[in-house]
Amino acid sequence: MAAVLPSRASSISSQNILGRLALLVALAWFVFFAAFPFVWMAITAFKRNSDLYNVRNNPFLFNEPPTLQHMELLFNGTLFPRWLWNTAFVAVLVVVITLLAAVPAGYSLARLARGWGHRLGIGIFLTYLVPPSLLFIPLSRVIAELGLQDRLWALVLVYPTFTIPFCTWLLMGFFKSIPAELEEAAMVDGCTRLDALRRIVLPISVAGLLTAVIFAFTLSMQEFVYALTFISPSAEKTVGIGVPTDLVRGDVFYWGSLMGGALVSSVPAAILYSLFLDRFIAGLTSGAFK
Amino acid sequence: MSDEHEKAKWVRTADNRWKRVTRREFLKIAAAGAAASMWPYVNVPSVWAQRRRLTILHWSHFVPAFDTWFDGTYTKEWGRTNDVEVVVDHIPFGQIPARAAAEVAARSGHDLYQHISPAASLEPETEDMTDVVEPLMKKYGMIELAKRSTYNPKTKKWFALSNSWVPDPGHYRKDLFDQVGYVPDSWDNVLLAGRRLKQMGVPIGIGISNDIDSNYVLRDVIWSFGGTTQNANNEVTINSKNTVEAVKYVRALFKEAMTPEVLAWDASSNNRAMLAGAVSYVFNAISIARTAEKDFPQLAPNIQIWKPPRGPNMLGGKRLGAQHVILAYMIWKFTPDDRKRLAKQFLTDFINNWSRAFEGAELYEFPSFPGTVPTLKARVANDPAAARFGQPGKYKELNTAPQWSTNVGHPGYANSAEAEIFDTFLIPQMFALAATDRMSPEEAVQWAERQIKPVFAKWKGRGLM
Repeated sequence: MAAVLPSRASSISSQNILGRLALLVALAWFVFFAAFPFVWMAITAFKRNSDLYNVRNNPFLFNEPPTLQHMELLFNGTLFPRWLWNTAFVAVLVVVITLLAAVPAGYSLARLARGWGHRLGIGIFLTYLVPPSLLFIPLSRVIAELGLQDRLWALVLVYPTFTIPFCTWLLMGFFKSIPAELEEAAMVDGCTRLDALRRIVLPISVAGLLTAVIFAFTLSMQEFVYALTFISPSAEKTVGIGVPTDLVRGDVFYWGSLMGGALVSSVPAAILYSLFLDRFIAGLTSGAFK
Repeated sequence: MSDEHEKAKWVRTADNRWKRVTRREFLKIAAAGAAASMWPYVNVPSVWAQRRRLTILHWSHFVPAFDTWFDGTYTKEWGRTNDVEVVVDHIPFGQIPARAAAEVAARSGHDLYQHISPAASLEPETEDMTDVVEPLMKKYGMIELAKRSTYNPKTKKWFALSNSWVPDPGHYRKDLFDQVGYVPDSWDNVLLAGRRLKQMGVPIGIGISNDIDSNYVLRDVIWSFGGTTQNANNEVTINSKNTVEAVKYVRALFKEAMTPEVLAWDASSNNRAMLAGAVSYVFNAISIARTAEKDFPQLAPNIQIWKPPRGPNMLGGKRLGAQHVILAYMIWKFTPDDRKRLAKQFLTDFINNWSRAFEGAELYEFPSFPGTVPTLKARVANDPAAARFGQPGKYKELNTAPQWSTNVGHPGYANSAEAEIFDTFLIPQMFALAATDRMSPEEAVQWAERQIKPVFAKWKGRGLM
């Protein structure tokens, strides 16, 4: 017995070490997977062309001294700062419009639509799946009739057509995960349903709301087709369309500046995700396990 | 109130003094600031509606200086002379068809819309340009491929005006071809050299994918082997012994002299692979040679320009290549009449001044109206940028380009059906099916015929061909 105990202990200990090692390997893989695009963008943005194009060079290292010429072209040779501002302007307004529509819609579907809520929710979500490459032609007519062509307001009007369905569906799942008894107790105490939503449901739904905000914001940031077809003056472009227009010239791609543009515009979104990661995961998963 | 006072903050006022404000006041100030910053987005300057205005959509030119000259110098000068505000917008070349579709759907868009590939399928939406093109043609002459890409003989309509076209010569690594003892003057030579070059780690780089470069170069192979997609009477002729031989040749080239990368070729692949020294032979506009002169000076003297290879003698031994780009302006039917007139005036003046554009484009673009650049041959034969590398005559083969270049749809016109076949990449797909052994060459050609015939029937049914 005395001989067996140390052996079992050592076996458990080696199992622990193996388990931890497997965990670390998996973690390292995920870190590599998540960080690689950023590292690649950063390396390419500061690499000389002669270094970048030489296939005998190690692509992960600076084989020649780094250069700022790509960033200079990006910031001084294009309207990149203006495009960043335009993107932020559109994204913030789209987030506000999305929340104003998706919160009441999601709540109504979760609480008031009874048996039809789920089916309606799926129906609304399905509209999100209709690709912009099909919708941009009929929407062009709408934008022209409203006199919004070549203005950022065209995007502010159109982007909610895909952010609202997605966020409604997302928030519907989230609201379902909140016990109805909380609102009922508030209403017993004299609250109207609107008060219950405002005072009880929304404060405990911050995770879900943040998830909707982040999704609406990033979907607006990365959109391409509508921005291409509705906006043509350089000063009105968003990052997603401005960068490829000025840095893909015929068949010549300015890789360093393209990567610099992608890096600079993706960092704020990455920070936003990181800051609210725990709430974001809670928001995504709470509806899923209901 | 006391609570609010406790939460008050210090802010700097307009007269540069500091003032203590409550949270409510602070929010009001912040909201007013945000509203003020949004004012330019809400307010549309009324002057826009009052001045004569001409809007032009261009691709983003591969020579940035060309856009700077066109947007910032030429159109500004023309605008001052004619009291017009000229606005030039740019989009990436791959997005030109999508944007055109949106403008047509919206019945609103740019006054002049520039295409870079055949766009005959848009003919019903465009203004007839006969009154602009024909006087210019009488004055300067016109390259046949430009006419065949912008004129419809059935409807007798000039649906576009081509100001220029871009040759698509072969770019080859002369140092490497010298090592293996060949010149890429015939497709046989390309295969023979390619086998050895692939062993040396620098294969041939001819795309077989859904991209614009593959679309052109694979047509070169069909024509050089004596095949065509249509005849001069707009009848589908792709299913021929010659096309089958062309497909067999490309399959052999793919297996023996290229790598699977060519199946994922895109518009930047030729440039990237050649400048990286990863391939030895591609077809492209001279952007590769020009980029090498600017950014890769060691490589530049080794990259040489050559006309397309001849096909096999037993199949006619033709030497034909598609144009790399056909630049053509359209005016939409829905454009207001006063702006149509303005657009046509702009085009006439632009063609009359086209020699300036030719210089700005660094030999990339050739005139569709050849008389506009009488010094072209001398200029091409003695290029100052190439002279810095001791090769002033590097581009001299381009002087023969009008003889070996032709339009999509050769020997017929670049009609609506040919434009649709081009846009849907049916020709590269036919070659890919055979190259990857999913079909035999004969089956791949039959497959292409089955895809192409309904396209021709559709456009004939619409009375456009």
